[in-house]
Amino acid sequence: MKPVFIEGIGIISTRGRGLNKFEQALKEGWVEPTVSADGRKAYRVPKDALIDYNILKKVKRSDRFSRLTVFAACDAIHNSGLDIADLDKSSIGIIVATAFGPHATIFKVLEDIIDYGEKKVSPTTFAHSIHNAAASYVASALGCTGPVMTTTQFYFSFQQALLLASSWLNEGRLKKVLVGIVDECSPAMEYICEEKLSVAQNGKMSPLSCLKQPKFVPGEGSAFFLVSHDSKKKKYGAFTEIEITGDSHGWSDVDLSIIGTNAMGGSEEVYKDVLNEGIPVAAYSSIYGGFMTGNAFECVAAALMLKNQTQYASANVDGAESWNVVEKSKKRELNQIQCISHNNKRQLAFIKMMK
Amino acid sequence: MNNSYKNDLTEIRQKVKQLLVSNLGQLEMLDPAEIKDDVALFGEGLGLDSLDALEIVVLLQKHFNIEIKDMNEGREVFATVDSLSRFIQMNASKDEN
Repeated sequence: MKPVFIEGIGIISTRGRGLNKFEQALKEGWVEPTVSADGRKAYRVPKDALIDYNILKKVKRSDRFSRLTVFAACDAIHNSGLDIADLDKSSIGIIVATAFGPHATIFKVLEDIIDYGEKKVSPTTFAHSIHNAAASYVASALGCTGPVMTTTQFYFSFQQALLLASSWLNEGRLKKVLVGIVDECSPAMEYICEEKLSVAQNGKMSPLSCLKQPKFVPGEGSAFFLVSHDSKKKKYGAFTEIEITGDSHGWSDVDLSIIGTNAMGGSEEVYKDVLNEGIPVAAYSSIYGGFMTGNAFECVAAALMLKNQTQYASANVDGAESWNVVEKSKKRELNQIQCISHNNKRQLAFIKMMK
Repeated sequence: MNNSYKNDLTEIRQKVKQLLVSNLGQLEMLDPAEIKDDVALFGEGLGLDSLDALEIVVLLQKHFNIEIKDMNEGREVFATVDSLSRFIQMNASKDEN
């Protein structure tokens, strides 16, 4: 795969909006999740993270899902040093990856149909229940006229989006691609998680323990990468390999492996097949919660570590197997990092990044 | 229809303001109490547009069971919070009669 260089990153997590807040979260480690009025734990994005009048006036009817998307996408552009007004708008593609799409809005439409009848459903709300609405808002807010796509592949949506971005750049049809993820919590989602999955009542996920029946805490957020083939514009390293497979053992030439938690992928024992004592391993999902596209957050963490040449301590090492677990933050030479996630069929997805 | 709105225009106005703020994205930053009864809903004033008019039609159906059938009537009704509230009050009374 031809390296896909990262020019800018935007991220919104439970710690708020911005790369600095995410980096601070990596340094601080685990904190208690938020608790809803009905007592459910989740790592939710704070309300004030989605207040910015300059952006909101461009997306004034948008729902929360679209705002999570647009804010992170705009931040990725700003983070690259580009001004939105100066963008070559026909040469930027947009790819939004999501596992569940705007499900909170979808539920709202369905509830309104049940409560009031289909004639009394808000047409605007219905329009937002479409998966591609968020990506369209990004295009509209930025004024981009290039291709716009939403990818949904449940467990590996982000990996598919990255592969597509790489293809678009390889074809030469675009100079840059804004590729990212978004997924949100909602009362319905949290209810389902509580009833059907195993939520960690102490608020701590422990992916490093590779449990057969892992416990998790739902999370949400959005992250975008502005990427290109232009090495001169590189700010945070590059994506160099992406592999989705049932039999791969990943790469042995990396300096660090980061494993993720997607909550619905079942047993995390599958990680035992690919982790070895030689390569340090870390996990950060207990900082921002478990969600299907959370692997993009691990990639943001990897990008920051490659840039800063610093490895951050795993957020929770309770019950960790005897891997070479990263327990302390420290300066270290890091040339390549792989981010690993899994699905419920014991397939693994690997994203390799380089300095 | 909610009978409690029958005669209390003040209560209807408050309810209308709350509905506008909580359902129309561009007003969400406003405090309902900040909206004056006689401020124009469309154009200058609150700056609503035709898509918002559609939302208001749905809100009237959903929360007051009132249907706007004549768009000429709708123009006058949607002029201000006050005109909208009076329309709701009038139709609530008609329905009960």
